Amino acid sequence: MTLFLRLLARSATGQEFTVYNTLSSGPRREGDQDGPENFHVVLVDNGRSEMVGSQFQEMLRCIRCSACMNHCPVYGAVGGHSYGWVYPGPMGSVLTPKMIGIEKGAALPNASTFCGKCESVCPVRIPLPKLMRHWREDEFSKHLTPKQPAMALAAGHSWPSVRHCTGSSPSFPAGV
Amino acid sequence: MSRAEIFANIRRGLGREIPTDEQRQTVQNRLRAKADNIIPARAQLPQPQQIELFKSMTTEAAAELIELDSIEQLPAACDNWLATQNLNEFICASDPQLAGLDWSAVKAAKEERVAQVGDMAALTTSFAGIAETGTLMLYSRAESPTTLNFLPDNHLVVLHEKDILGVYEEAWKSCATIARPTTAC
Ligand code: SF4
Repeated sequence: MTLFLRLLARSATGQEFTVYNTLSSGPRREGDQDGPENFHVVLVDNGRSEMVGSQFQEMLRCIRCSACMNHCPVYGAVGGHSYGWVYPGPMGSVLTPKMIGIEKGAALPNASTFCGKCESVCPVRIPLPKLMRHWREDEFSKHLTPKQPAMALAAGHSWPSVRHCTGSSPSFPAGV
Repeated sequence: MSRAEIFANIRRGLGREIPTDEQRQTVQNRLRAKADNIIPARAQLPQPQQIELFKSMTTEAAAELIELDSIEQLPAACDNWLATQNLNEFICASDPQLAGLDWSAVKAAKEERVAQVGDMAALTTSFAGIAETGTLMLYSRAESPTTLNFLPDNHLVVLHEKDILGVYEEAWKSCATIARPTTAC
């Protein structure tokens, strides 16, 4: 744990350490003046356990430091809300299609120049461009790729520039 | 999704069966061993230099340091500092270390209780200072409830020089020797 606490603030804001960390070990004991009466640990899976053993397993190492976002030229230009879901930036481009399906989240892994900055700054060395590429392959193999880029791919043109020309945008479920 | 389903998914993903007693024992031994990971060289220093590092790191983190020659000087130091901030009251842990001091000459009103909305200053002790990053480690207990640590706007913390350690790993080990706290921060 200490290793990851050391990595978190340094990668996020360049601080020596997070301003405040609390470790909770249970409900209040007899004599305690404050603290919770009950203590519950809620595991939110949301598809994460299915990533174990898959080609996306490496994404589970993410400590949400946001270094990949801070260095991403796409994120810098479009901002967090454009990602349309809980997780923005390069890590969101890998995680979001897992949560909402590639059918709805395909624009995210496609909105990358693959400059590789995210991978080079990630403190837990997640190969983000490789994982985004897996999503592009998945989209292509499911015949979800819009016609124009699919034709360009077949003709050997560069993908991001052609994708840009199509003007396609992410399509998210209402309310997210 | 139940806990059992989540664990089953993880096992399937890792290609593992239900662990045997031997495998369980291996994991338990590893957890019990509490082996250190990489420890930064920065704070692996003789104690006098650790103290200097702690001071520079806490100052960098915008803390204000007041050095006292003895704990008996604490009531007056608190009173002076509160006066400079225009504060005339504070809440205090009912820590025997603090309760044993002479607070009779202190002008600010002192109360021993949990923190509430609107409290401006709290006084507690800390059992470890970590030189590596200038961090204070505190733990909750009956005489020092955890709300004192983060609700009031100002937190006055007493730390003895002898309790300044180099790195987190040393502080966790020291924390583990104390009866299980509800929170450590
Ligand atoms: S992917 Fe890496 S850099 Fe991005 S938030 Fe997660 S840990 Fe940080």
